[in-house]
Amino acid sequence: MNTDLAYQIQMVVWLRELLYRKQKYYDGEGRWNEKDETDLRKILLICKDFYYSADLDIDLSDIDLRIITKEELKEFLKKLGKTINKLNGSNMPSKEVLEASEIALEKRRKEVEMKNSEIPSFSEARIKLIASFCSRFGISKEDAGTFVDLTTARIDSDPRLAIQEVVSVLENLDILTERKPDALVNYVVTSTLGRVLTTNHEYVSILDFTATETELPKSDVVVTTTAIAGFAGDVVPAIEVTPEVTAALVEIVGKDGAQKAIRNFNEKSTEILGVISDAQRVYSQSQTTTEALKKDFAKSDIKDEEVVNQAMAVFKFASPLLTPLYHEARKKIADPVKFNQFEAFLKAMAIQYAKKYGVYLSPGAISLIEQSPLDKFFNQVELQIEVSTQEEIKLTQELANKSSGAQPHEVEGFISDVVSLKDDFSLENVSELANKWLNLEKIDAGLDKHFSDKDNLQYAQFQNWMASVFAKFMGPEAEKLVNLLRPLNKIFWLLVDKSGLGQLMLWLKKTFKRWVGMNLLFGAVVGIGTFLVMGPLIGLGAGIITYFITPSPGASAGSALSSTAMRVNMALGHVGTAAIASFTSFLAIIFVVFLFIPILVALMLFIINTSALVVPPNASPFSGSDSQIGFVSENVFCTDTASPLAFPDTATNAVAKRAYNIVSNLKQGFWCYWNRHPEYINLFNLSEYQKFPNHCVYETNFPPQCKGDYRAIGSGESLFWCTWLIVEAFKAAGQTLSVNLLGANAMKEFFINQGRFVPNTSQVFKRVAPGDAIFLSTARDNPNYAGHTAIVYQVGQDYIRTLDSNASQKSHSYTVDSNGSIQGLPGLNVIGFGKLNP
Amino acid sequence: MKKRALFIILIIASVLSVVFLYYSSRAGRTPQSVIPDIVKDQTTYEQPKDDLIFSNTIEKAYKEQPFLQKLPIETPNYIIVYDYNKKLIRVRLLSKEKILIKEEIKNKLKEIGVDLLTIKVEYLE
Repeated sequence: MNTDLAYQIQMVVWLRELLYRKQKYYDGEGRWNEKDETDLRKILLICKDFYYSADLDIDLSDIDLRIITKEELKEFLKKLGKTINKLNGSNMPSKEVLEASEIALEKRRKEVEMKNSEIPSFSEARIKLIASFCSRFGISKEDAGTFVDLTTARIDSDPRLAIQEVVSVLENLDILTERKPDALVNYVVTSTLGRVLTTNHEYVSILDFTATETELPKSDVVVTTTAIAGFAGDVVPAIEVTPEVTAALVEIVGKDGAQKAIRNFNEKSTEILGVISDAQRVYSQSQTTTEALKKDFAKSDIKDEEVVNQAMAVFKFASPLLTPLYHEARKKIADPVKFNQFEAFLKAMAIQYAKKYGVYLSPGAISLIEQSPLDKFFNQVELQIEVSTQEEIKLTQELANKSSGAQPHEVEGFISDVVSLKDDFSLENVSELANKWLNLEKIDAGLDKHFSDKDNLQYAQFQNWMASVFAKFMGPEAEKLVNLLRPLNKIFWLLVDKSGLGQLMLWLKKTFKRWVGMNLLFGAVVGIGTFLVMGPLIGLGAGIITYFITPSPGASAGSALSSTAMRVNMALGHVGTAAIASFTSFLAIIFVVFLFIPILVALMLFIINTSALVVPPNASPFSGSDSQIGFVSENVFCTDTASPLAFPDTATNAVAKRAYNIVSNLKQGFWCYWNRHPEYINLFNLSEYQKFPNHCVYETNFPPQCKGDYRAIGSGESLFWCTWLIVEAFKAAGQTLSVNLLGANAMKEFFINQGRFVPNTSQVFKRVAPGDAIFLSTARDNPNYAGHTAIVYQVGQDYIRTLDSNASQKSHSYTVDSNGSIQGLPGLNVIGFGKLNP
Repeated sequence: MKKRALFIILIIASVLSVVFLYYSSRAGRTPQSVIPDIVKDQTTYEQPKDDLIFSNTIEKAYKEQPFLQKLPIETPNYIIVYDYNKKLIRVRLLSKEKILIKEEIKNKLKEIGVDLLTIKVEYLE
């Protein structure tokens, strides 16, 4: 038995077993855990690697684990069973299959071990190509994998053309700017339609059938257009064969050809409908498509904007169908007259298709469509074709060679971005940073903690960024980079991130202050004492040595006395010199300690405190995202910048507008909550924050690992509490709330006493307005005890949005229940609203 | 002459150090309280704790279902919210092209991490 085939059967059987288990789990039987899910994904990945080359007669891309439903799974399993049977496989692989599989596996292991081989193994080439696509298009690895699958599948015809085609599709359809993974996948699928058209056996069979029936050559325009139209029936099941379409067909392909095409319309496959739907969405969002259609329609006399928009909607809707047909016809219909007829047929088809789906079309729009040439629209994918990189073409050739056995094509003339990217980001520079600058382990641990506590999406973004950096390193140093990549990227990230640098400054400031406060005085005392004591001592020692060791100037006993006197003089001289030196040193120390160092320290503190250090512009790799990464400082991990709100200020109410302004400028303070406002410096205990950012509150052990006496921040001005936002924002409406209301519950009671409180009951959303205060219970024993308050910023029939201070996020939203009350979150209860205007 | 110059330099240096120290210490100092003592009672000690509990509760919910913090999503064609009582995604459709919009919504939900196998989507048309 063919070993590769045996291997494939084994994998498919394994896949089926896993899918059966998953199905049972859906039925409420058996278990399905994380390991099972991982195995399933792995095996699917392996199977996908060979499905193009195998005789499986099944497309594993049919199964998408993210969206598969129970019914879809059942259907897929049926297909899988048939495939296995067709390959003479069984639920229990035969001995022959197992033996052959072992040989195949061994062969693959050896392939993996061939690290120094000039030609990378199948998987290595695939990974490299994925990495390259990740880098070039800024997309996720999963999407790049789909991209590679498509490229590999098309490689048999022309590798360069295949890559060019996909690249041009991406670049022309704003994928690079939108960076929507789904859009990419959709477009890959859309492009697949074109591939299907040329390789699909149904198309070929229709072509053969029509040629036989009409006794015309296959290249004849009648035959090709009939086949295209017939195939269109397969891919667009919803098209009704209307008299208009029939007439168009008869005109082009004759009565017999039209009848055959219509017969094909009636034998429809629903599988590709979803594909077309996805593609329609991409076309509808494409600015390039819009611009192309505008240019085409501009050639007509009809200028009415509404009519143009209607016509545009029709073609965006029908694009996935029309575009591949158009290009296929362009290749096969040489006669310009016949081609124009075919174009008219496409227009008629588009109109019928749009009508079928309820797209409104006025007579003016139909005239506009009929009058317009649509050259730009149909040729938009050819506007900007970029030559693929040398590396990508080479890798794709290797993949094609291994996956299908086809011979690689010779390709001339390349652009190699990879080489220049290597130069931009030299390994030596990065290594130096890693080894010299910072404590990698500490940063690593700190970032891990941060990511585990914070948003998974941020981590995913971080991983993507890592992947893109990885992609820049192709060649022998890639292995080294893998080991260095994680900590290195974090360091780089910290250094370029504005908020990270800000936190670094804060940390330096704190550390330096502590050092000055604790060590300088102690060091000075010890140093002075040492100099004062050690100087004479050293001198005395030198004197003693001089006295006893210095050779006598004379040999006679008579000169002993004078000799002794000389030695005493010399010894005393040493002692005296040392003492004077000590005194001089003392003066020097006094000068340094009390004059020079204070000036230096004061200067440094002045620079840090007044933010005189220039922080570079935000060069974070996550620019545009809500990045909140900072430096690890004790237990707290926050930024020193005022993160803007995620939505623009559209408030018309003065209080809501003022609240927006206040909250926009809030900075992170205690616990990294947004409770420090630069305009209200008297409402923040900076010195206590610098000592204990993770400060205890009310108790000595809350929050966990806290430090500091809770009474130190119990006073109202210790930080910008939630209630301060209400107090300050209400001033914009001329209302001065008492500072005695700084407890949220006290504030709630105030509104009740004033008759301005609306409890959270049915249809309450109709009584709430921007500028009101919302009161929430924080799951205490008393559900009516308000633990938090915020300003209502936006009110709709589906949700309300609030602005908060002293919270982990600056804004929250609450769902409006079907009965019109406001839903809380698990553990949180919306008590009611304090009205701005009674 | 030299002694006088040295003396003047020392005086200037001393004055400068005092000025720098004054400004640097001022930047980190909290001004006198504007809050009357009556406020500094038990309630005010509790308020920071209540705020912490509030945020912890919300963060816990977001951690369990990360897509919650990506909601609501509002576009000219639809509004997506999470119904905490029914534990499902609720979508109000505003566009007439419902087939296309539903596809878009489905993709959007997948994009923000909603597991459509386990979380039901309810459409309000």
